[in-house]
Amino acid sequence: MRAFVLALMLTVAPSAAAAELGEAHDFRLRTVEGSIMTLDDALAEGPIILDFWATWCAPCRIALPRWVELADRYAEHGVRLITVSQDDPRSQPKILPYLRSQGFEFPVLLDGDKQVGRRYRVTSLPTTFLIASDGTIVTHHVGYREGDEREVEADLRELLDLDPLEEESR
Amino acid sequence: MAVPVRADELRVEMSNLLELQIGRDFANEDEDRRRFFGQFLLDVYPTRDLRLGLRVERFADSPPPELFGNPVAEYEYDRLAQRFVEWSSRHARFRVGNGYAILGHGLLFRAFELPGVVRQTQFPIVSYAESRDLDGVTLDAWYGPLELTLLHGTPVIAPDVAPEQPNQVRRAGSVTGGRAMLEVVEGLRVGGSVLHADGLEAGLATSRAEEFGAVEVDVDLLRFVPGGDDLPFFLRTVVEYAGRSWQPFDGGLRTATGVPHALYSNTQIGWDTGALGIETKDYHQFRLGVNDPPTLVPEFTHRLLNRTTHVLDPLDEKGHQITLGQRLPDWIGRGSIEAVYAQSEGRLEVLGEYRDPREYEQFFVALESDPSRSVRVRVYFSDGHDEFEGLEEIRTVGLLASSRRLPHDLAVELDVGHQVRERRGVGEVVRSDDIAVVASVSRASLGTVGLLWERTDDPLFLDDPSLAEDESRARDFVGGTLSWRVDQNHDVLAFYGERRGGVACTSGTCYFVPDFEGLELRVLSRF
Repeated sequence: MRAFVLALMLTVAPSAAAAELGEAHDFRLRTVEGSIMTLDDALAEGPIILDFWATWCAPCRIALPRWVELADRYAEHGVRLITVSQDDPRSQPKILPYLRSQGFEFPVLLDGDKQVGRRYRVTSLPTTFLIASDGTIVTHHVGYREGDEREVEADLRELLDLDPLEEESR
Repeated sequence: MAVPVRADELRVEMSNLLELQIGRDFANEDEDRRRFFGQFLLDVYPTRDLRLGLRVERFADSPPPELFGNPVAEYEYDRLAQRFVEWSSRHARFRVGNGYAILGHGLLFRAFELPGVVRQTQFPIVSYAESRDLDGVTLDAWYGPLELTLLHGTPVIAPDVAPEQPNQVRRAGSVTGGRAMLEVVEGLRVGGSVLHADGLEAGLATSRAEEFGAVEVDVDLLRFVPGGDDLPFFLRTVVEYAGRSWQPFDGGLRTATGVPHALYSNTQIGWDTGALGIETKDYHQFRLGVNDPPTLVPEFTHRLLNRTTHVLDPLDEKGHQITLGQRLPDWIGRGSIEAVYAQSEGRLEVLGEYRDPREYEQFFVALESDPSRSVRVRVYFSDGHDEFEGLEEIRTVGLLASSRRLPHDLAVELDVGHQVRERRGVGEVVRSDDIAVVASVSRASLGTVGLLWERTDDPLFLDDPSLAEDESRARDFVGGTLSWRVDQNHDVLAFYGERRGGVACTSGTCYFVPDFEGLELRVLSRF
């Protein structure tokens, strides 16, 4: 018990001092269709919503349509949804049937050995990042609960210099 | 959020996982267990190209666990679990220290981790992170059409053994190998892997040097059909075949049939509104200790189905899995259908002779719809049998319903499942029923409160070591869950009540989770 409390204190203390967001880590991953995509490729058109998910992750399946809707709403500002699958190489064949059955058309990058996930410190799924076109991480969101996307949307609007969301719509 | 502290080019990132359990295990009679597991990760980037990593883990148990009446405090540990230096450039990534690598589709070698998963051994219970890393060097390089992976080091050969345990070996031997893939033309990649293993003792692997090899092809077939690019289809096939140079029992007891091998193939056919995936897996005498063959069937997140996930036997099993995903026509409503058929058979070898084949078969179908855009409903049905586990019938039906946004930013979810199993006992078939109900209420950006109830009358799950006599009635497990997003840096997860253990599968890897009764608190942090 003493060890837990001590570890908890050590955990909480440094975060109070942390104040700056970092740059997104570079990556080079193969898409589910077989082509290669890097971070620079992903950011070529503007900000991205980068979502780490997996076919076996139930909250991810609830969250994905919301991220699609959010990206679609701001597509005219160059916003794109890019997803990174944390599926093991032999559960990757489940990705395409799922995508097509849902009508999803966003790029899916394959991170079978989770090297990119580790660099982004993904410890639970889904984990979602909003990354500005200059590569700066604007926000990140761990897990998903219905309505969480509005928090990311507020940050996205600020990034795009748009008026804040009205409280009711948030 | 994501809050790396930066000063000039120096970048420091940290994350932490703390888990505290206060309560009772069913494996012993101790009512007041206080168990703590902590994991701290530090990544330092002195420059953009350089990364230094550390992972520290601690496990403590109070009072010290007892094994056969003797205190075994030595099962507690503090350790430097990982340390590495990684250099990356535009065309390569080189790491010295603890790292991960998967050769091809993992037929020969898989060094990986399941982030966030805390495993526990059973006797005594020791908590540890699920990380099967390679302690050595790894190189990933790519240039134009060529991709290359090279590795050398000491692998984890017994992932069910917790780290730092007396008289038990988790990591041993050495492996040296690599993989090369060449994109011959657009849409066609060919290549292969080799692995030299020495001193691997886990499972039925060899204790002497041995060579393994694999070849693989990845082809986008429609690119080679005239006009194929214009067709509204997607057709891609991946095949990998692996062999080994050494045959077990090659002295007096030879294998009865077949050359040791592992085969994996996967064909995906996609069209505008759906896709079909067809997989084949064929293993014979291919348990290497470092390749951990994954499940043959899809990994369902539904609680009851997940617990009965079939795990492929790499000593002798071959089978197929067909997965269909299809969007429903608009006149039915917004929704989709998912159907899976999986079948396999394998033989058990005893003293060089094979017994009768055992078969596993499962059919699963799920219908998901969100017709009113306010409630998403998924109903599913699964039927099959698994002779590998002595199960003549496994039938599961369930419903998952979740609302969209309700007043006050609330949302509700209900997950109900019922499973019937018929197990072949000594001369008779024993039927058992399992029920699982999970209900939860969540509030956006804040947290979730849930209630979990499970009931089983399976005689294999009834014995409670804390009771002197065998139980004969159904057993209930009731618990409450809480997840709280404290801020962007911290998440708290709590469970209180009685939790049924059993097999759990995450990302294609299955492991055993012990029963637990009491309070479990987990804090996840990033800074």
